Amino acid sequence: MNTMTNISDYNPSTTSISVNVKYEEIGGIKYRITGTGTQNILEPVVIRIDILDKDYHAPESAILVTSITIDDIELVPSYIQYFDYDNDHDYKDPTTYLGFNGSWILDTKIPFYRWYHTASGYGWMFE
Amino acid sequence: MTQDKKFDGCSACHKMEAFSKISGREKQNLKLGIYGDVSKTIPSSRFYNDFKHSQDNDGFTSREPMDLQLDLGNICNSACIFCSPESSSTLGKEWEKLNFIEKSKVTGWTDDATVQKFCDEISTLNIKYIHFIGGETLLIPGFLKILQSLDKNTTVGFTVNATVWKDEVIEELEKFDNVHLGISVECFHKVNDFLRYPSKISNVERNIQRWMQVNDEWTISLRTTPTVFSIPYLYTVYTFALENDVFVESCNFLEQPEFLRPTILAKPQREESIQRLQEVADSIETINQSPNSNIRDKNNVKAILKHDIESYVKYLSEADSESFRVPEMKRFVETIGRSRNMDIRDYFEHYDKYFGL
Repeated sequence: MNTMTNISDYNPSTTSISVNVKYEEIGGIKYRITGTGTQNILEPVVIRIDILDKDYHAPESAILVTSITIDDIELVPSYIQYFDYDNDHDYKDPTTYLGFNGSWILDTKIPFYRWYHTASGYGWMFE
Repeated sequence: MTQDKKFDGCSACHKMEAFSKISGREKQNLKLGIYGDVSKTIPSSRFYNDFKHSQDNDGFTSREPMDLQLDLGNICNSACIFCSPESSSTLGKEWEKLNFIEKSKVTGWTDDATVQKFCDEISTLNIKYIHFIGGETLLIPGFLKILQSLDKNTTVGFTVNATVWKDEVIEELEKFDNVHLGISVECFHKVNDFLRYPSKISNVERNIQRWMQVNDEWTISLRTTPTVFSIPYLYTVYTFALENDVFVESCNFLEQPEFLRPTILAKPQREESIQRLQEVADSIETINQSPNSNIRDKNNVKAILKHDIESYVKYLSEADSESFRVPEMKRFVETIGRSRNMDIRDYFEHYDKYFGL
């Protein structure tokens, strides 16, 4: 069991995290997803899904987010309350069914693993 | 440490982790943002540069203390049999009489002048958490004065033996935003009287109830040091904790004295304890796992208790037997019993069955 750490084995400037989003398209819908892929570990995570120009008179259409993983950590459904859903129907409840024009955004504002510590109720961290 | 070698001084934590019990090492790491996959959380920690500085400077740090564990000395009215004279003046006196030690000492530094100097110095630091150990903190001169000097935003932790009550200290504690109160008890069974002499479990239980009524916001943990004599009744502590929504915490699996470890029981003798503990664990319905090392997450009490119980089940099921220590245990317990006019058999009904006549 590896229990001791040589700090030199780790380097924040070369360590990355991987952001992946899985989803289903329902009907014909225009959308844009940003913030996926690989990024430096100290960068805040900003995942954004925009629903664009939806015609509410057309048949039902939406994006259903089925999975968001950061490294091996799954955020759906346990962390979806941290996503801010700004849409033209003023629908604010946590959801992964994006059926309104608008944006669905997670902005951790701080490095992901520090955010995850707080969001998971891991207690206080020293400043 | 940087050579990936284990220190003997860390062995208690490694032992806990081997049996899935959350260790002090893990708890402290969590405060620094280190958990789970350390290849990710170490470089993410805001303390990364401090670790590096420390590694490059022979372990020295340029940071000021934030988290203190403060030993106030050994003044204590209890003489718990698993304790030591370094932590109990009463036990020290008894051991001196029994010639276990040459000379007992009352230790501490909490005279008025030293306490004042300490208070002056600590006020210049940004202390986030201060945990007091003793001795019995409520009996130690200077405890109240130190509390009075602390900012209300400081989180204060301390442990009591539930035999002492001091209104003036409790009133002072009410000013703090966060208080972590540990209350020592081994089990809700008469063997607690033998283990935590001269307390009586009926009084201890009454005082625990009294402490729990002081302030709903306080984080309360029952602090146990499971030994061969309390392990069959450890389930009573978890049952009490579940009924009262409080935590259970122990520093480690008992290291010293070795002859009081639960593992001096042969494996078949542990079955009843395992079964009782497992029954309590199985009775806990929770969708939450205990996913991290924050053992004071008030939203997760049941899952934390379940995880802790299961670590004892694992320990009792898997740890090697140390039954070769039984003769030493018997000599000790019977000597202590004579000194106190107590017979372990009156408190621990399994004694002859487990250890022979």
